Amino acid sequence: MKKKGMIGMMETFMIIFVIFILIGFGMYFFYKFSVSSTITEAQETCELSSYEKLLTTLDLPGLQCSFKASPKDCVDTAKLRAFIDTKAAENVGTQACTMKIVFKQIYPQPGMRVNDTECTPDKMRSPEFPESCGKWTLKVPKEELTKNKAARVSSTPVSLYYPHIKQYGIGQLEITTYTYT
Amino acid sequence: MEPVFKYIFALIVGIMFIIFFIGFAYNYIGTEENKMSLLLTKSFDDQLNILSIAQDSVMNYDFGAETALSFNQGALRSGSQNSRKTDNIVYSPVNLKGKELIIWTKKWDMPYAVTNFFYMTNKNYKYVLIYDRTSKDFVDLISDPKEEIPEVFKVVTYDADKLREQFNDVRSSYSSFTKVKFIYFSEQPSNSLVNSLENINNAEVISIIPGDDSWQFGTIDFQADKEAMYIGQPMLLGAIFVDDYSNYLFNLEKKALPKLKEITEVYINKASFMSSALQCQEYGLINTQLQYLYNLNEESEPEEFVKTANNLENINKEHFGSECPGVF
Repeated sequence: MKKKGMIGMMETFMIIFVIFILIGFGMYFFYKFSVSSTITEAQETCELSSYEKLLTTLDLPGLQCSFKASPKDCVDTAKLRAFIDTKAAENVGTQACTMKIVFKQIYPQPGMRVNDTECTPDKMRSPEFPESCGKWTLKVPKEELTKNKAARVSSTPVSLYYPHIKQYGIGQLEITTYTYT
Repeated sequence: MEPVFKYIFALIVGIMFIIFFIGFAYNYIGTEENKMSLLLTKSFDDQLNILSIAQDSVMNYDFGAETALSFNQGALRSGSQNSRKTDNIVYSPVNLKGKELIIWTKKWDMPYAVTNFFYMTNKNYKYVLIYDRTSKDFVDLISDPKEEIPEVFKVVTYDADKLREQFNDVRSSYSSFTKVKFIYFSEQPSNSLVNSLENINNAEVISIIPGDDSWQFGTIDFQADKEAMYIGQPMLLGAIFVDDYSNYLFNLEKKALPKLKEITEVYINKASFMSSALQCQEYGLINTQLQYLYNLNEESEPEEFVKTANNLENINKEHFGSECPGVF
């Protein structure tokens, strides 16, 4: 009788043990699925943020052209350079994801050797400008924030204005977002 | 196994399972709620960012369901989750609960575009603009939907003397609102009227005292010895819709003035760059005024901000031409 009871108890424990293992497996897969769906949502949010940034960056009061204080549809490169050199530039971007924001010059086409050269105040003052440099980097993330992440680029054409030479050019606003693969 | 022991054992195991599953369900619901409110505040903030490129725009934001949002000192929160810091300058009641939200945005120029202010409310809040002979024209102007405050805000205006006469009717007709805000525009607000209005349960009273005839700068009296300056009409409008003194002061000192400094620094750098590139003396002249504006702070008089902005506007208009393009 005692032995039968012991066997019965052992059976019960075994069944409970198996049930716990099954629940454990279930929870493992559930959390795995949950984490991957959260990452996907974060990526989507990040992509949406980059489109929103494309829309709003062009109209930032610190970058937009203006004539007698009324805004115009172009990016003032002198203001852009001035803005990059202020602390405010560090705050451009979103809390949601890591971003790199660059204005590239398309036309007049910069020379082959300088298309990746940053347009500093000295380069912009040089007689060769706008052919003397090729880009203005508004925001560049720290290297550790981009490690092991996939880069996705969104871009839009922009009209660039060079007030000191009173000329217009064509450029491209490029926003690179970094998300987990 | 004894049958009694069997039942006790089954009961314990059963309770353990139930506790485990209920705990898990609660945990999951909590996580999902946090995720949803994070997404809600994020998408709402994105919407504000997109609206911030408009000059002057009004919209009804429909959440699709009863939603509680709170805006307190630069933080946007929905539910009990951690708040999201927003860069946008929002003038609104701290707690907004409802299905719909009215959002109006307006550019703040000093004299160049600095940032957009957002004014928000819902149908549970009522705004009453009070005028006297010194402020009638100005209140008529700002309450005119074609000129300033959009119709959806349903602001009402009262003559101060008439309001005294109809005090009891006003008190009873607005008793159903969460809050009624009385905004008294006057060069010399009457203390007796302010005191009577303050006695209404759901009322809050502020007085707006202009610095000059143009109402472009002045003082907001939040009562109880709490005063703050306003610089420009968009900021005055902010005082109408903001919940309290601390939020107004936060928007002024931690948001608007630092933003003005940021943009002014950009123009200082631009003027220096243009000066070195074109050798025009006018850039030196405008740079002096820009530097002056940059150095003003919350301790400065509001008049100084407005006067410097007017000087800058005149210099930019009159001293620059085709040879030397304007700074802004």
